[in-house]
Amino acid sequence: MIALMLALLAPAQEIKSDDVVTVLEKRCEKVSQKTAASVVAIRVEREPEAGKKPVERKPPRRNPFAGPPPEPEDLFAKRPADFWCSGTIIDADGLVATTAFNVSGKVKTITVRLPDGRELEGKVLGLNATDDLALLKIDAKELPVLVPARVEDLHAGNPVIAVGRAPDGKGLTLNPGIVSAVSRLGGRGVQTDAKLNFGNVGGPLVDGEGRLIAITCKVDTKPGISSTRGQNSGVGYAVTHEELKKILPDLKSGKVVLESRRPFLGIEADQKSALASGVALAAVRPGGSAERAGIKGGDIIIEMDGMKITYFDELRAAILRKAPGDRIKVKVMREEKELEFDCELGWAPEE
Amino acid sequence: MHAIAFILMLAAPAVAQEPEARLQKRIEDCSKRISERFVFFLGGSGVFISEDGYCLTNHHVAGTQNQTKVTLFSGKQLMAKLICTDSVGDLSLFKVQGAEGDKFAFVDLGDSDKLEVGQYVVACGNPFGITLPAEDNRMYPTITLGIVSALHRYQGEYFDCIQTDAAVNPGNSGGPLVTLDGKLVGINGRIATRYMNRVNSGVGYAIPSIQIKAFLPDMMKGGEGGKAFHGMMTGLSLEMGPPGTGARVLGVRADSASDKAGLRKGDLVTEVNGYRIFNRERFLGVTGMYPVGTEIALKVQRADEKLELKGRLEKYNRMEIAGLSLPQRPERTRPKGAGFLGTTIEEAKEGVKVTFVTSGSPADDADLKEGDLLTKLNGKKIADRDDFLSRIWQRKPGDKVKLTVARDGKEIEVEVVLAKHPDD
Amino acid sequence: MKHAAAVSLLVFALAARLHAQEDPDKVHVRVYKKVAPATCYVEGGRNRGSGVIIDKSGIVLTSPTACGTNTDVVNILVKGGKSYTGRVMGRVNEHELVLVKIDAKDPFPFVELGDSDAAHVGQISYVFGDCFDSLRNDDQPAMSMGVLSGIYEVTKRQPGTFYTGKVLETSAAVNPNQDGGPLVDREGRLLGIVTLNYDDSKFTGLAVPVNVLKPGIAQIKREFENPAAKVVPKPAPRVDPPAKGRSAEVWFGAEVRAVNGGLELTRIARKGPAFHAGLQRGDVLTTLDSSRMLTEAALQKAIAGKSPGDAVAVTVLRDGEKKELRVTLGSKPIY
Repeated sequence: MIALMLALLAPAQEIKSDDVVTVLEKRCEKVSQKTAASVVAIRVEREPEAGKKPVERKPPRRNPFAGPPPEPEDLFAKRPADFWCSGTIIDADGLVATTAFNVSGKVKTITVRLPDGRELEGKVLGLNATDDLALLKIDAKELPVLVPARVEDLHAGNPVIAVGRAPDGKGLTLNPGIVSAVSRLGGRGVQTDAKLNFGNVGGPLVDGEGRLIAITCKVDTKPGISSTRGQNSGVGYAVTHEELKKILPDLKSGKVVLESRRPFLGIEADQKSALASGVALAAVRPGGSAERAGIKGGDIIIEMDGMKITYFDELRAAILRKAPGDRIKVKVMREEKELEFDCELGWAPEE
Repeated sequence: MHAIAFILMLAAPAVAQEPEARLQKRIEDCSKRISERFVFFLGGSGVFISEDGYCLTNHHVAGTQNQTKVTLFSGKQLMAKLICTDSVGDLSLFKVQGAEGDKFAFVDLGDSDKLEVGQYVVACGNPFGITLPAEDNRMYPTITLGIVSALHRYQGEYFDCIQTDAAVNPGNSGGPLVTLDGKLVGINGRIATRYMNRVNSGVGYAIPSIQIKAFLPDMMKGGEGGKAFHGMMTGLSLEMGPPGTGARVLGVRADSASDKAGLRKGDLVTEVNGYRIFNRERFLGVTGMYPVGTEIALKVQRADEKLELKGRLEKYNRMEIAGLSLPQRPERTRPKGAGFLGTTIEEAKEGVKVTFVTSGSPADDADLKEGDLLTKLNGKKIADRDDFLSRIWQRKPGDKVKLTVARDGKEIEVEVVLAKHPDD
Repeated sequence: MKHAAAVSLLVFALAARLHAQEDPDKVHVRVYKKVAPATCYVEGGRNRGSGVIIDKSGIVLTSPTACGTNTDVVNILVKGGKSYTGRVMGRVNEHELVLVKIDAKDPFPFVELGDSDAAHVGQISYVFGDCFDSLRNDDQPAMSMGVLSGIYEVTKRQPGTFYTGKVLETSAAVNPNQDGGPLVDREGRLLGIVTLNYDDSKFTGLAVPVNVLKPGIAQIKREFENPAAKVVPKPAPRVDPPAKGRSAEVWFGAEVRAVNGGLELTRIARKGPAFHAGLQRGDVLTTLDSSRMLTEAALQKAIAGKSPGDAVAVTVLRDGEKKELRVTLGSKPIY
């Protein structure tokens, strides 16, 4: 009897598991070890604007952390002039991914600092402002590359970590968070509440095992009341490695898309329509993709690429999942008749 | 007997699942479940609280519409009718008009009073309106994870709110804040911001479920013509100050709710409905989270006595809280040309207390600060606010006055030269 | 009888095993209970911020940005509605270190000093403090959670800060008036003190590592207990090295408003250059070094070309009379 009780109590000591905090800390340690070798620091020197002084970010007149809010100033819309940002090694033969924003402007030289301390010159091969990704080439071989994660296995709530390099170019930075939504940016990115900022975008977003999910990007720098103006808001985006793979050939071949471009159909929905299902069109944009295909104002869009369209946002989302130049089939109702049109999507710059 | 022991022994290792793995699973399950119960309002968020389609959101999201279109997690668009709205507490109750027999997934209300600072919470919402139908036509809201940073925060008309560092932004308003068991402990509605940037900086405020529970029964019935009203102890002037042992009564207006409750000048209110009261803000916070007409129990210290009083809340009146119609104080107007000091003052136990110093004024030049107690003017005791104001206004710009100031437990004398009022 | 006892023992053992597993939802509550009682709201001079008690006898560690660069008396608020006054024991402003002794005999809850040299990126960290008046109004030392997201050097000082050097960066939310407050590890040991300094790339919370503060803390404590042991301090290192050949920021010491014919002085900084020159509020500045002063920009441009110590000739109108004065420009003070 007593022997049985002891036997019961004994496993309590053996199957001792790590407490939550230890696991969280160990996860960061593991991610640090597995990813450090593939995360680089990037420093960009830019030409001064022709005829103007170099664009120095104006320091705030008073510390914005200290008490009441300062006067409204263009505090954060500009990236700081003098710091190291982040990049991810994506090919052993010296290909580095970073954000298009990091290497935008009149770039003079790019210095890439490898984790082993070597500083090499980086050359921009290609750039895509829509995805906010850029591809750099450095003269190095046999570089370590991250193992990709299975994006389709992701769920909201999964732990992720945004890895980057410190502003002095040396240490690693880790910002843990969760997956806030698995499919954003027209299916090309994931959303996370891990803190993203000028310093760490361009680095990898990894899972608890250090596997690459996406490249962090899109720190909002637009002016305006709903802009984060460079400050982290808890709404962060990262473009998946699958999307990066798709645009890689274009980037390698030197394709440069300087402006973010959204696929564009060129229609104006009738806001006053009381339709139960379908999108009634008030008009089509002259010269736009819809007009060229033969769609007219008054038509009701009921299907796109075989998918039933009930309301406007469904149509908008479906278009945003495409790319400029893609062909789509649009079915409309016109005077009780169903008509189908073949459209080639144009593009509209992001406002 | 031995068999039972044997079975127990086999079962035992199964319960020793790694706690972090359990936590992870809870976070994922919670995220999934709350998404299914989420309601997309135009420009904001909401959540189902009953199977037949009642849902909550903020008043500032949709409370001025009698009906509005909402989108569900499934992607379905339906109309929602306003049942009742609380414009002060920022809470609106809608009912989604589904087809006959439609059943909606909903959340249970939790107990916000049982929350602990440090506890995990999940916020679900649609910040910046970024959600669009996914390939499966579903509308996936944004999930963010954080902890409870503070409880019982008084933020004006967010009387008793939960502070969290889970990221919430414009667009999250009206959405649910849940504990990991999926129970609703708050409705997100406000954020504190820095740098004048309207984005999250780690401080979100949520209306607590304890307040929602107090209002729901009446709101379900439509309230008063579709409106719900908060209560307050009218006719009460309380001393302002940092948290201490209670809220000190400076004045009670005749025939007000406070008068009927038996409160008197000099009383120290220490408890209301079991909540410890430590200053004016907490008193306003506790009394403000109930509907008009609620009876409250007060514990009061009067001289050496400990009293228990009962009060009935009258209709919440914004102007009174702001002190624009202070009890027992007729408004006085400054005579044109009178001397200007540059302080805003409040009644205090002794003399008057400085609540604000105008930048660039004589008071500012003399280094008077918020919190200073002015006890004497030119050596003579300041009786009350009226006395202080009339004596300042008797003087002209350029006149010197000596103020006796109590600050940090010390008494100092400050000489001020009155100036011309900026308006003159 | 023996069987019943055995069964109940078995059940007990099982229950004990289940109970030993913590509630994962509340793993961080433990640190709150440890550190919140030692977290302070701090106020001194015109400044306010946060602080933390580091000794049972009531020694508060805080920052000059929270309680002033040369104040002697500091007001302190602690959870539970307790207010105290404290006297500054000593300070090392360039480390953003101020020690305050609370004037009271209660034994105080306190945090232990940790070892910031052993800190590593990725370890759990929490920030406590007065967050948007949480402690000052609502008796709530707010807590935020994150990790040490980076350890690096900052060489630039944001306005209103004093410290440069190694910093601990945290992903836990840090907000106005939490400067001076504690950054702690998983056991509630002090890793650093929150600073107002931040790196331009991030705007995130930084903390001065506790190991940077330890020598100062030890010295101040020693001198406080034994004033005879006070070491004559070496002259403080220059905190304001001119960057890129620019001189330290030049200061006139008045706020102005454009009016008909000149600039009205709406505010004179106490003990500032304009004050010392005899300028008064209400004076209308018409010329500076013979240049007409009609806009604020004109004044700023005229001053920008000068250095601290330079004198300028100003003409002002006071009650209709023209007055000519000389203003010796100063250096812009941090506080």
